[in-house]
Amino acid sequence: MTATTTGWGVELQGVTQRYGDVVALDDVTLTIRPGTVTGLLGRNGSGKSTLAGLVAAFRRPTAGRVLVDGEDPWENERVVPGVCFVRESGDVLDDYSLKDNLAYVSGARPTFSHELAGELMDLFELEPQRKPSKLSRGKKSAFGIVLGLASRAPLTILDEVHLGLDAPSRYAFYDALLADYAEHPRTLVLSSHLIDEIERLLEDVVVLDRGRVLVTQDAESLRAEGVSVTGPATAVQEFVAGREVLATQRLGGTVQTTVRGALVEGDVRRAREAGVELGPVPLQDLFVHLTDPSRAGASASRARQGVDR
Amino acid sequence: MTAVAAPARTTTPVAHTARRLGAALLVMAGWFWGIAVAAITVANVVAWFVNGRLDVSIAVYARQGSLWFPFSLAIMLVAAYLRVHVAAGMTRRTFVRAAVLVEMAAGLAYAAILTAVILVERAVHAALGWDATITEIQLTDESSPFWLLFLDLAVPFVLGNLSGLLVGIVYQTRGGWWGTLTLPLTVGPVAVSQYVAGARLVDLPGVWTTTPGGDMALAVGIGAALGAVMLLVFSALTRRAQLASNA
Repeated sequence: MTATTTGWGVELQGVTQRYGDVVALDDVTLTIRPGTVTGLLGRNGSGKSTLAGLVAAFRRPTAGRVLVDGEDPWENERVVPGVCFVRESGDVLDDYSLKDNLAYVSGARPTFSHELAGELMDLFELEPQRKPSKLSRGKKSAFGIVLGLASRAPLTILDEVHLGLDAPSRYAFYDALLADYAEHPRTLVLSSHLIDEIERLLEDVVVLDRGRVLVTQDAESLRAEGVSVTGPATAVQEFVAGREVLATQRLGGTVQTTVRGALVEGDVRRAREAGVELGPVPLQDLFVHLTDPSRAGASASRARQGVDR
Repeated sequence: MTAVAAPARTTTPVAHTARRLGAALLVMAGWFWGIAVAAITVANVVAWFVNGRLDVSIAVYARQGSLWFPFSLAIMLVAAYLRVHVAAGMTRRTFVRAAVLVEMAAGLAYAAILTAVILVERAVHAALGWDATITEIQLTDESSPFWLLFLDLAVPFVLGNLSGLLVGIVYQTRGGWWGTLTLPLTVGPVAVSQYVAGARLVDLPGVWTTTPGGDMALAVGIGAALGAVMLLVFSALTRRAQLASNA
């Protein structure tokens, strides 16, 4: 069955997830728009996998509500076949062949495409008779991608599925994802640490940090919140004076500095006169800056001072 | 392009899962019964050579293996399939139904096969002029009809499989300590079904049965009650099972 699916939206309302004393998600409220590719970004332990697990009904939240396509996904016969959560390590039958695993998953997924599964198996050079337990880490990841994409679920969550894949395979994955997404629009949530590689795919971005939402925004407007300034060191230094610097890279006498804040009137003219080039801000720089522990510590300190006053 | 054959479309997730679980258990059952029948045959032949005759049933000793081997498979079935089942887009509820269906069927099938093996052995012994005395503790003896023998085996076998599911889900959801500490509760009913009826509970004052059929009806009734409780507990625990977000 290769029915075209439309994506499902996700809503989290005041969601908290605790594991004993550890708070994995702390009062998270966010919306994932249907029919978009959303990047779920965050440092290790920020709560990305926990969030995805709640959406896929692997767990129930300690507090708050999770809604997928307007309904609680927990034990929901309508919703769960349409939510596909693929984890890096894969939830597969290790002692059965890939062919058996495909048959098992396809029997449970009403939108599963055998044609796409076959194409992706070829693309990643996976042999149907092999068992997952005998595959390398990269090949296991590739098989997770096959299941995730071929399921064509209205909500597909791919959590670090590229781990272990070599660069050509990762780019083949990105291309396959984009091509199938264009043909069969649905909601895709990508969690990855390789932000520079996936940022071209993203329409929306959610950044988690220590279980809280730092940013939930469309990627374009997020990128517009910063600018990269490239040119001779002195000129760049003068241009960025007084701005919030996110990152700086030096190559000989040339410097590229990423600053936060939108361009104001006259910035382009001043840049031209100073001999510096302005460009889009790399999402990775924004992410690193936003999730910098020292920044978070400083913010907390400022907040405490504000309270003291 | 790699040919990935489309499976026959299943009508429900329960049927789809039951087929998968059933296929897995069938393979293991093939190995088990192949080895068991060979071992029973060899034991009979060896005893014949050593003693010149054999007046006890060897096949009936497979009762313990036929109980605990599928019991262990049921534990593994929960460990291996529940997470994959949910990740494949199915509910815990459908897993419970499919697993219980398959495990009850497996218990009945093992009982039927062992009954057949015992009867064949009994026929061979009779043809050679030997007895086939049953020395295991159970309600039936060598003179019991096949249906009593079948029920005598089916009750503990079905309970054993349900117990395996229960042990599996307690270990999976509550961890090693609770899984181990609750073993008397999760495995206890199997011991009850296996030995209490055979230990002549039916002869105690106030127990009204006086015929083999009545004894068996009581054993089946106790087994059904225990099985129903185990099934309800397994269902409740599985339907609330929280799966690790990080595999």
